[in-house]
Amino acid sequence: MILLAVIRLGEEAYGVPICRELETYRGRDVSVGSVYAALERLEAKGLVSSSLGDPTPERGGKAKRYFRVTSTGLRQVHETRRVLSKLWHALPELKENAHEQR
Amino acid sequence: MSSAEPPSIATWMLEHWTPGTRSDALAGDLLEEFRSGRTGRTRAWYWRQVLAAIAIGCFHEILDRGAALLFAILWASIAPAWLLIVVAVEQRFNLIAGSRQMDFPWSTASDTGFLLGANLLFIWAGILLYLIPHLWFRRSLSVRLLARGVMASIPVVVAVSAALILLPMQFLHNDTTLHPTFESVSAHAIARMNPNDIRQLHPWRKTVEQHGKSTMNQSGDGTFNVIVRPGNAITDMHKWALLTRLPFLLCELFTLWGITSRLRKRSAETRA
Repeated sequence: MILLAVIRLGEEAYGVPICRELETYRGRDVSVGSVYAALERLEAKGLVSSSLGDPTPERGGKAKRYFRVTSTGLRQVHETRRVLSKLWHALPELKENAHEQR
Repeated sequence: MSSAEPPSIATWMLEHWTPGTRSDALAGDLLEEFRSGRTGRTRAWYWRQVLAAIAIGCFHEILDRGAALLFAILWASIAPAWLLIVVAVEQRFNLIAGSRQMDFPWSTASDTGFLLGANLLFIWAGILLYLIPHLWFRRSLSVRLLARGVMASIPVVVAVSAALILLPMQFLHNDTTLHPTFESVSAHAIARMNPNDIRQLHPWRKTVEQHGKSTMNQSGDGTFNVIVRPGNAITDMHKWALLTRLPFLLCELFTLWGITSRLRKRSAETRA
């Protein structure tokens, strides 16, 4: 989900918009700390990269940390999508089998 | 409705207690979101976010360094056995018998120096035992990194030793005849105490009498030699044994923690 949010936001992918994006789609409050922890894990795996922006006064002089999906991350997203699609296509058959067994 | 500024204590906690490199950007994000005036962005929300960020950060930090933590606990658990071996070797070969005949402070200095040297040897062996396979696995094994790891332990060992020297004797037992020295929590001192001193260490005496883990022999000069098998010292969970392990655990943990932090930072820089 976080990878998709980062791709969707493009050049504007930093903590606040990523969290808002996740809140919009999940329909509930998210912890900024947990989003950062997940992003750090993704970065350690080489799926995203980050860079610091300029410090701004409305953020108390703290710089924004922008995230970008790497080519490995993009491949991973496509692979996940492919696997999930296959699983979803297989699901109705499973349901039908379950009904038949009853 | 929220006030314009978030709780300053929460911000301070976030900036100082969040492990890793995320704290600055995270603090900026929380401040930006708090000042945005969106519904629900209250001081309570800010506190919740800060506490969650600290808890999550610490949890992941411990998970990341689980191997170092586990190794430090295991290595510290065999520390009492190591001290007993040191005592046995010292008594067998009279390694510092000559310097003990000297006047104060040389006799005390040689005693403390011997013990400190033995402790350092044990701590360094642990650091190398952890680092060599760890660095080899990460393909960054080098003499420079190993030396840095060993050197990093020195200030920690000195600080922990100083803390133990300053530790009030009453914390250990009610004996006022003994001085609060580093030896108070070492097998080195236990083995050389006279019968009155040994009787003051109630948990230890119970160990001797109840479990038969060790034996006490009275020598010709009226002093007791406490003989404890190293194997039994490893499983000893009494107050004395746990206190003996504490400085070793702290030294190993702080040193390995620092080294793994530097390694992680270095690999992040390499990736960047």
